[in-house]
Amino acid sequence: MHELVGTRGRGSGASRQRRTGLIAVGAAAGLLLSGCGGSSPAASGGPPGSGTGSAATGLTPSVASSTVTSGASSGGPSSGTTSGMTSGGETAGSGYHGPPATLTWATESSGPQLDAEKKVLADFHTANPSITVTVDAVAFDSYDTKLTTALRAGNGPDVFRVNHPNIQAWATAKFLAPLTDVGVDTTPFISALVTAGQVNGTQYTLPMDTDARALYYDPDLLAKAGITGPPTTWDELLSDVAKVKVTGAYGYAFRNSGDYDMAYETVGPYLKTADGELLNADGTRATAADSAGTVAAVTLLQDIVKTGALPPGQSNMTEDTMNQLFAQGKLAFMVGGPWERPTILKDNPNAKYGKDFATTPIPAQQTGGKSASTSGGWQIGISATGKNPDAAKALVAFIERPDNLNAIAASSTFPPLTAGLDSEPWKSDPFYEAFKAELPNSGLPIPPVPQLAQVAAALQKNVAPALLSGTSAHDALAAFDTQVNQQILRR
Amino acid sequence: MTAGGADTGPSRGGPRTLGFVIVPALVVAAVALYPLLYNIWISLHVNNLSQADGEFAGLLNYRNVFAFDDFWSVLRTTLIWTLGSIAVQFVIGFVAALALDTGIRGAGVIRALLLTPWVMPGVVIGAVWLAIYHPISGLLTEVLGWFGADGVDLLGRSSTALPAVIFANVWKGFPFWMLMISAGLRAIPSELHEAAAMDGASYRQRIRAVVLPGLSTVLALTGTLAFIWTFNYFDLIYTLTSGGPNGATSTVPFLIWQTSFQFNRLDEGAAQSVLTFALMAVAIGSYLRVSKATAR
Amino acid sequence: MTGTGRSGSARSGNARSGGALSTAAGRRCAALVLGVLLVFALVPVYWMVSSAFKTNAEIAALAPTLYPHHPTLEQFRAVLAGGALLRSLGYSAVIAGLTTIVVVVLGSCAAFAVSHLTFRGSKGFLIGILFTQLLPQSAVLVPVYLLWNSLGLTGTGAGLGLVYLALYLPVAVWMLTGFFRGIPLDLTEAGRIDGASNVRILWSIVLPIARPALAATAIYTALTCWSEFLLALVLLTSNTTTVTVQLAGLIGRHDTNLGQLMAAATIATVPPVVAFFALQRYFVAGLTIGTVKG
Repeated sequence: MHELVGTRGRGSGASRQRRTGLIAVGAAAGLLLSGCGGSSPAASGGPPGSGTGSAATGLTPSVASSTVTSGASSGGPSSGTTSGMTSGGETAGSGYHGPPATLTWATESSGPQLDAEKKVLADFHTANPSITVTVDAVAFDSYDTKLTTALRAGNGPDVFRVNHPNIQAWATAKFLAPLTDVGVDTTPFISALVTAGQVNGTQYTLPMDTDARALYYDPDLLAKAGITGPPTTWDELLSDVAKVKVTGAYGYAFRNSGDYDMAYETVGPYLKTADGELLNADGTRATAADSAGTVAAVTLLQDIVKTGALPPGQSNMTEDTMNQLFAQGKLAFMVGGPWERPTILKDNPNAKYGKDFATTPIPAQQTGGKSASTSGGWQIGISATGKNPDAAKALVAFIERPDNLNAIAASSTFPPLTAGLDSEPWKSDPFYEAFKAELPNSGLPIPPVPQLAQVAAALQKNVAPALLSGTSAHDALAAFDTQVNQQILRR
Repeated sequence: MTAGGADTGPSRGGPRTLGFVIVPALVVAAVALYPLLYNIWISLHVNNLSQADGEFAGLLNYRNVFAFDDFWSVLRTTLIWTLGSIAVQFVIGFVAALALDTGIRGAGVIRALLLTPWVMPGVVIGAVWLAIYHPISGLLTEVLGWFGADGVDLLGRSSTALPAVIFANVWKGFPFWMLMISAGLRAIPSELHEAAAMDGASYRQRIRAVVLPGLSTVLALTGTLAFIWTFNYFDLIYTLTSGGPNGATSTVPFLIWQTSFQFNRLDEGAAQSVLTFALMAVAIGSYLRVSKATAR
Repeated sequence: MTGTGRSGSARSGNARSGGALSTAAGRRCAALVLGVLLVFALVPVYWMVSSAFKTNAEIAALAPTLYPHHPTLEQFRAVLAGGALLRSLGYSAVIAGLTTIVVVVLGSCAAFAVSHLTFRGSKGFLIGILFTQLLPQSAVLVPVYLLWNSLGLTGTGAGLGLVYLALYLPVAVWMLTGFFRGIPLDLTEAGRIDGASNVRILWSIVLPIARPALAATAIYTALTCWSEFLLALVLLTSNTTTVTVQLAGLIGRHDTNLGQLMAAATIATVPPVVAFFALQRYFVAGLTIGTVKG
């Protein structure tokens, strides 16, 4: 898609020379300038506490400084050189001087997010004319299948999105190259997300985005039901759901169709507000039935079901259907991520924030309790068998620049930065207030274990039926614990 | 069937015959033998997501399949799905082919129109049937509402989910039967019909005495192929129910896909695949011994 | 009884005698049956087409409209923008078309050998190639990809076509064998006595009789190639891919773009239906064994 214009870049003759034997020069680059790099901020590129030993620390500045070296080898410093010295995170991507390279970027993004990614990739190409990036956009549903198959054959894309449940498995399978020397300054990042990209202390992926869930409500419906404001506690939510019945609309709906729904969308957010857990912190044992917060969260949803204010089809409820109901003013409450808004507006172009829909933090378990949510997100990784690792790392460094992360996240998720929602478009939009309040207390519902997908599916299998039947919350969670401990974590 | 035994061909086994079958024979090796051996190899190792790691684990993966994966109940669901689908597909396809063969005007157009379910892209079939089964605004839900059954969630109930996905699959698959039977009807010599008519046979008698025997080979082979495909087809299940509710529509190929690609357990998925292959091979093999599909 | 007499005399025309229902009453009955079946078959198709002409808001309406109340071409405009869909249609057509030709040619040869040359091990051959179909696609995906990757065939349409050839040729052999068996051995033996080569016998005796079967096999192969998803997904990249993969791209992580999906699918359904019309006459005009003998 982006044309190869490497020969029109800085020093057309030089680019041809570079093809011969520059790989060796690039490799030597780190050593040559490691003294210089050590004094530059790029030295902080390694994640805090990555603990891979002195070898990794020594390599850390190599990307930032390789800019300088390859520039020199092609006959004089280029414009990228000076800025390359100032900040690793800023310039690592804009000063690639290796041989012309073609990279494939695989993504499951679609719509505006894909457009934003393509824009960033185009900017990258402008900054690095010798690197051409082709985009392989794969539908989310088939993304893992395609990537697993290709990566296994050693023929994966060079740089790609990694859904966080796959980080451990893909790193262990040696699909991913370590990112220790990529020269991204991770200080602005949310540290838990950086840690999520580490396996045994080595950084394999870096965060691209994160998210959270909030309670969507329909202010019009609430007013009709005589409710003055959105609920702030579980009890208020429960009574509000029941009250909405007088309007003829449905009170509440929850997602119940995919294997991640219970963990991330339905039970997970409430579980987080009540400090419940599914596995213990180090991910060695399932302890859901012994966790008061988890039992309480499942019980809350059972109580919500008992109000009788839920729509038909709750045993196979999809996100599409929930948004459809909500957009038509037929549903008072639902839990959802920031990506629901575009869908609501697509289904009902006349919907207005504050009137037809609004967001509020996930209600706290008790008055004065905290509001929290599940969050997850996508990360970025490099293929261990890619043919142009230096170019791939330059691309990672470029995408991981805060401005680019913001641009990509803008349409429907959040940047993985502590400054997070303090920049536009999030800063002044009231829609995001609820998410802002929750983000500090949000995190993964299941600690990053290689079997995360199986654990999530086990929760779906054991808890989803219990929400709609008479099985006690404790029993359902005990069955989940048993399955996870005996069948999943042991293997 | 026809006179002339299996071993009367004059050029049997000769090099000229080899030329006719060499490509399919090579194909067998490339797309069946290699994947089969590959799956057997993977299934005997553990943690084999990548090619690099993984250690020999004997039959551990097979043990896990039986211990943890509800394999037998999933297999049972798969058989109901498969046999239910192809039985109804056959009936509808047969009736459609007979009706088209009456010389009715516009048969060509009708046949093409009846073929559209088979032509529609798979991803859309899922989306359309989701809309039809939609518990709030679905077409079928609406129709059931006329008969007093409001808000019926066919895909959401354990008891109705499997029949509902089978119904959608019947819709998608009957045109193949129609096509094969239509072609098969053409091959029935008209003399047989005439002779039967001369004997004063009724329509039903002629179906039994002429049409069904004349179609036996075609039916046996269509049935065999449809059985294998339906058994292995899970796109529709994936879109409509993702195996739910409570695993009521989880079939073997769905389980294999989930284990291999969602759970990143290619080793266990391979064990499931090898088991499935073995069971299918036994079933198909013993069927072929008695059926007319390979008999001359 | 008069009806059967008529059907006996109408054998050269459209209403050949195979249709035992060729009476006026029979045809009325057939019309009724076909009418019901048409409704059954076409309601979902109608849903797809009519949704393609609706606005997003109308599609999302909870009281679904039976026809587009505000017909719009916006969904078609959206999916046709950029030309990616049309390119993928062309790509699919080329791959499906070429694969089908090769499959039918090679399949006819093999089926002829199995049914009329009956070499040693022909039954084993037939069962063996059927076993290519037994492994579920999820199990075939990784090994085929590995094999194709080592042969340098990934990322190319030719590579995909070869997989299709490999997967669907066995089915074609099965289908054609089933039909070829219906052709009496006497017929091919007669040709042999006249000194015709095997190729000649296949070409001028077997294939003309088997035209309905060839058409059925060709339709099966073309349609299966056209709608195959998983292998096209992994073997090609999204810039040059088939139409099914292109369609799947309209289903997002959090949202299905239903209107565009329906519009794109409507477009994608047209070529195979047209292709079927083209092959249609072989069902009607295909020679039957009875007439050949007579």
